[in-house]
Amino acid sequence: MKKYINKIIYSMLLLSFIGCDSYLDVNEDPNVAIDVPPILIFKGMELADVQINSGHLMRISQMWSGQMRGINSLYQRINDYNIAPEESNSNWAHLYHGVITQNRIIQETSEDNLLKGMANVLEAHAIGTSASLFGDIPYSDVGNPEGAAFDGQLSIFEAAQTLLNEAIAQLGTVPTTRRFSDDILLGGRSVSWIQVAYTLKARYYLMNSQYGEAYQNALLGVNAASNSLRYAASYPEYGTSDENSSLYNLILRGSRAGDLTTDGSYIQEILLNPSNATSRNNAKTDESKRRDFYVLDQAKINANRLSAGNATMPLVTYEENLMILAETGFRTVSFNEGLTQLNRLRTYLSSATAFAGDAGLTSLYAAYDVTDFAPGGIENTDNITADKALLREILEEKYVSTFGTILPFDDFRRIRKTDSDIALPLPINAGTMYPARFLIAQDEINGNSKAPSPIPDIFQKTAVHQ
Amino acid sequence: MQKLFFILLIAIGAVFNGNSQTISGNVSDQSGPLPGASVIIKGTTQGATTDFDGNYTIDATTGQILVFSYIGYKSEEIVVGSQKTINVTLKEDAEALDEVVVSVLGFKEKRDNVASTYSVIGAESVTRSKEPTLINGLAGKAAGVNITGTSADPGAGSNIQIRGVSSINGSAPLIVVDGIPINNSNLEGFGSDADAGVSQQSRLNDINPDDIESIQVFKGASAGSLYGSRALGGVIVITTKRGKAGKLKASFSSSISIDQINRVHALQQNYGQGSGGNYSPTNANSWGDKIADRSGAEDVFNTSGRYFEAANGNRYYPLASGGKNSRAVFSDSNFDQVFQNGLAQDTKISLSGGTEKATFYFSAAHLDQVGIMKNSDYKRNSLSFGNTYKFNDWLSTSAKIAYTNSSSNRIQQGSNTAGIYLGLLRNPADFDISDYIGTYYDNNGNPTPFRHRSYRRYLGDTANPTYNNPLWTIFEQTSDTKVERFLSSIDFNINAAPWLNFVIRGGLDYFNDDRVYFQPLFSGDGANNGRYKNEIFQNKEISTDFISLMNFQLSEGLSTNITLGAALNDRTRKQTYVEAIDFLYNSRLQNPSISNNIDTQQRDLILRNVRFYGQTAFEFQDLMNLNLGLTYEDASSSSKSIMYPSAEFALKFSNLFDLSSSSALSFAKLRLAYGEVGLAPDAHNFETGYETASYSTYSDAISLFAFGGGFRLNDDQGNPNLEFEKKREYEIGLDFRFFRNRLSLSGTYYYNNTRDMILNVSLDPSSGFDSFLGNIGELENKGLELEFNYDFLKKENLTLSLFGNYSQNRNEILDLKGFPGPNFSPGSSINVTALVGQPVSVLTGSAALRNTDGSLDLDANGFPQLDTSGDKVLGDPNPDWKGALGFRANYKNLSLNVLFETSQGNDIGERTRYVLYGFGTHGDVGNEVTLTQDLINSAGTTFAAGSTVRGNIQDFGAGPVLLDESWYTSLGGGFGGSVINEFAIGDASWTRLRELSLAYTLDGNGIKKTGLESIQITATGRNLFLWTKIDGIDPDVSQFSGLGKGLDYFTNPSSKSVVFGITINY
Repeated sequence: MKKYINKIIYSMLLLSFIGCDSYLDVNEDPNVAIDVPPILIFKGMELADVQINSGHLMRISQMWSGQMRGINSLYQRINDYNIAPEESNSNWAHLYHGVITQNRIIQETSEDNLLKGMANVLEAHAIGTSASLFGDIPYSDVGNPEGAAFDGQLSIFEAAQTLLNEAIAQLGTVPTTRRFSDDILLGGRSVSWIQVAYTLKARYYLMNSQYGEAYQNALLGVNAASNSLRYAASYPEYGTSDENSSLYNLILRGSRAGDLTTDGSYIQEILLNPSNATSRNNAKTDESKRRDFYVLDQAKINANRLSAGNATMPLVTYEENLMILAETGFRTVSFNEGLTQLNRLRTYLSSATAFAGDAGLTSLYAAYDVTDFAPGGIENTDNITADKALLREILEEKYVSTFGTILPFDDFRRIRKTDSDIALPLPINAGTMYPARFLIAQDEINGNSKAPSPIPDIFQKTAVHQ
Repeated sequence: MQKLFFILLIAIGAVFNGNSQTISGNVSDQSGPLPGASVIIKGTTQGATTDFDGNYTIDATTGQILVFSYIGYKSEEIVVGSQKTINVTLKEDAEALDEVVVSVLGFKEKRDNVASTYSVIGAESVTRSKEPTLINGLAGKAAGVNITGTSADPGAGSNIQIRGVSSINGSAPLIVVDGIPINNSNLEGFGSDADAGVSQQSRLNDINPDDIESIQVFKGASAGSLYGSRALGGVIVITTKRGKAGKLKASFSSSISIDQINRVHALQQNYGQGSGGNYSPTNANSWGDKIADRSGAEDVFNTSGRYFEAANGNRYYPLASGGKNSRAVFSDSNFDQVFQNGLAQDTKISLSGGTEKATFYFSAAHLDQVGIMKNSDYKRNSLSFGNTYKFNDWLSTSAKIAYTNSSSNRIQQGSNTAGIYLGLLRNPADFDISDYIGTYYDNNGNPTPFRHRSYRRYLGDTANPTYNNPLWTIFEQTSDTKVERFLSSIDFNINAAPWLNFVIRGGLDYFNDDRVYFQPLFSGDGANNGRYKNEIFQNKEISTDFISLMNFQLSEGLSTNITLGAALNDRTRKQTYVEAIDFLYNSRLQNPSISNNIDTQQRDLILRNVRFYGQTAFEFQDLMNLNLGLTYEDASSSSKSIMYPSAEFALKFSNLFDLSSSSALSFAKLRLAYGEVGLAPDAHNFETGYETASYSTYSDAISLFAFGGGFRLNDDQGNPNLEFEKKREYEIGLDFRFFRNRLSLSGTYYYNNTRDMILNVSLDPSSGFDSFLGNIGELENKGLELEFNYDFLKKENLTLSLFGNYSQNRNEILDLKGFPGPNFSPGSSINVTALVGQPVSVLTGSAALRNTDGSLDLDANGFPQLDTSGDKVLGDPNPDWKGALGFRANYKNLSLNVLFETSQGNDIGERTRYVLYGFGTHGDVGNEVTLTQDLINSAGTTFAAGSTVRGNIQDFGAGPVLLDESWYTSLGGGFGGSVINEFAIGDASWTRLRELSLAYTLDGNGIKKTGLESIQITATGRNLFLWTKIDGIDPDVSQFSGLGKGLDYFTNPSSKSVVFGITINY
């Protein structure tokens, strides 16, 4: 036995040498899929886009435009303009990884024009919102391992227009009867997606004060409430569990529940409150029900309010499109065009489907006529020109009817530049200046040497508003 | 248990056989009797051991040969004649005089020949500390070995770190038990967030401390290089007990430990719940009215409608407006309802014995601990059996099997609205946490049973309590962990030739860690609708080694040992996770069947590696030792293999001089060492796969799962080119012994550098990904370690000794290739991170705006402003130096041990304190000041001289200002990145009386007559005194484990203990 021991041992050593390579070939990840079809990554893009447009920064934009108040902890500080760059981290991650990286896979690997078109609309939506909030950000150079260069804000809006044109072309090749159930926003209806793309084009033209282009595109934009891009209008189980509910509902029920509210906000107390003499309510308008619908407060969640778990959240809506038509129609066509489009919205608001709200409360949106805007009219008690009075009402209506998006913050910044005399008298929460943008994300400052240093603060206007 | 005992007794008895002649005598050396020397009849299994006075008795027949032996002495053989008494004086073996230590591979070596830096931690010093868990028993025992706890939760884990952090990727030392590497993971899992959840366990603590014979800590890379990629953080070699030839020995020990919380956060009791000086029973904060100003009458309630009825029938109605009149405060009673005296009972028995041919060792232990927080506990049972057997003159074997099972319930903590401290410390002084559960009746009388009543929901009127009532956290939620662990190993030793040995070694380490987290309906932290989580880790590690050992005498005075080895290591882990939420009804059944919203996940892991190693050790004339080593390693998770060289040189230069016995210097050695080690990448990181995900911006997560499923390309990029991290280390050391070895001194300076550090670096978002894994970083450590022991008084009955250690380590991140460092504290507003030019784990976060001269840039009111330009370096949680100083006295049978430990220059982010400022509950913000001059607050309001207001006065540089609610709830307190977190950093230097123990051993004739060997009675105080500038918490705790140190965020507290024990030896 003993004399064989050496031989046995050395043979074992030799065998283990030979067997090494296959023995060690076990590193392929047993836990993750690597061959996922691109159609299965679209829904994640939608959720990322929803967070970009309806999440934390949108809520902050509401605090900074009189639509909400931060009253405790972090939101209390941010409400008063104490904000750190880390608050932008999630938005940036959702934009670049959640939307753009995934869309690259779709555009490169999918042959499906419906999928590619929808995905391009989402990317254009996400990048446009981000350019509006942050100003100059990386876009054309995304993925550069040396650090992506920052594009100018205006060139990003141009790129978004190009992308939307491409999306419209892609969606135009899809049979209009086709559906896609994994699309939780619009059910894969290509007709609706094309309209959303046109409204987005109009939105971006309007941001740049290109009223003619905005009007022309809005004419092709969302033409009915059913074509509005809303979270999550096409998901039948929306609001049935914690992680598929309205973002308002989640934050008002979560650990930050008491940190924010609409109670005491400008829109609630001054603009919509019938008992306030300077409110929007007049002989043809009663906002009682809509005011109740917009109540967001941890103690006041109910099924008739926007805080309900299954209340859809606006992204790109019929209301917005009508208001773009009204403003740009007024500016580029005629007073009457502006009034007509405004009254179209008022007619829609009068329908039972425009918003929920407490059935016991009243609402009234009778059509306005020219005299209402003439000096001394119900919409012009302070005797300004009829033109200004109409424009003021269109902008005020848009401020109310696009509640729950970043548009009130966008429009307020734009109007302060172009028509400051009729800008809403929104409160300044602290100091003497209105915030004019959001901060570049801390993660981007940390990792990209091409980020500006120092980063622009929140009071510095972005290029389109300078 | 008893049955086993008898079987063993019979087995042992069977190998002895009776004989005629009884011989007795005494074994001694020049200085006196030798207790514990062995006397064996040559060629038989018969033997005896000398008692404390060196006496023995043995039966032998004429002509048999008695072999007298004792470690460190030359054996003596005496033929039995007619004499009844044989007294022997053994001579010291000049070579064996050296203490025997163990090499990293587990082989015995002479201490003075070792050129590596190591520390020996005596088994008795670990057991003496009476820590219920092994790792904590190592604290303060060796220079450069840092133990940091996570909390005093029973069974909670601790981190071991040697010579600072060798890699951002983790640098826990390799633990080798009897030559087999074992798992010492501290797994968080999916079920418990790193910043919250419960303190997880450390798997090394599955070992029964009583089974340990010796612990040796090898700190340098040269010693560890044989283990290659697992020895990056050093190697701790544990040798467990084996039986010895001789009579059956039995030992029974029992101890009882009484534990108390050692630091308590100060809370104010002057102001009530509310804000702006007004009482509000639902407000988060305690910036309400002054309690002393209330009328003191009964509170007035509105009893017409809804109410909450507690289990005991107490009813709570809505407070009428202005109805808060009571001045009662509950801070103390609330505290007492949560905390208690902890109690740990530890019982151990062991049996051992054997013959020259075979030995055995058996032990059993039972630990039953209840924690300082009610309902927290830790129970551990362990059994181990080890034997050795000599088949013949060339083949022998040694085997060991140990089994441990434990169960523990620990309390939710940290950044977690369902955690204990969050609910308790934010609780206003005027809210009584009693009656935390009951039935809520709405205005229509509809009942909701088992509702949760918390300070922000005093009627339990909503499903969400916002923050848990601490009693709910303790009594309604559970976090149970059940672990079963098997450790087994076997060694075959083949004496192939006088110069050649083969060792074949195999080991299996298996554990099953089963965790259940249960939160019933109406719990906080997103569990309003109930949440059940079950996570199971099945971990298996198989190790095999083939080692050949060769000895050659090359020439007169020059010998060499050559070690060649091959090792295979196979680690697998299966992690299964089930999360059930939205319970169908209010059930206390802990099973996913109570929900139809169930998420399951599974993570498998396979990691294999292969090593071939060789080492040759030259010894020249008991003067010089030179060890040269080379290890080849390949791992499944690395794209490339790696070689590690090592070289160690020792010069016993005292042997160059003729040291007479009167010389002060007894021994001197110079050590030089160079070594390389590495760290393999984690498994399965070559590819970028697809994942499901949730999307959140702030407290609003929505998930693909909840929307019917979907994927996204992972935001963490994989890397097919990952390879080993590489660490190299240089050491120079000196060992001295003076005054006939009574004073020993040892010092080592080291420099090490780790490059190609594998880092999951955060990418800038515009890269399109969140993170990237790559061989990216480089860091270095340099440091000094000193250890000493001085038996400054040595008399017949009295020995007095001082001992201690000192270590300092300077760590610096040298390169991250432009990437931002990883965040070791995800979710925290103060980040523990890595920055180039800074030590690892540096604290960063929001800071105050400063002028170019470094002074605060104050606003018009004289208050600091938030610097919005991003995170700044705020502090360093690494100590400048650590040390321990001990005193030991032995007088006859009485021994006293005192050990102080200190850590100096380390910072901590006191986020608990800072957040409580914002909530208005901290003791610091409950003061009232009468102004002697007009003062302005941060909101710009001026308070006239003479007025008495709540707040503190401070001068930031522009004259005194009033810090009141407006300051503490904006920039001067609270959480998030929009407060000035810089002001939450504190100096966490500490000094503690780590251990104070007194032991008395009874071994006189009175005891002997009962048949017992000895009885030892001990009293130990653990952590009795702590000196630190940090209030409220032991600065040694941390919210995060591993590298995320130096943060306190509602972290569970630490304890101090008094332990009484008795050990009976047979």
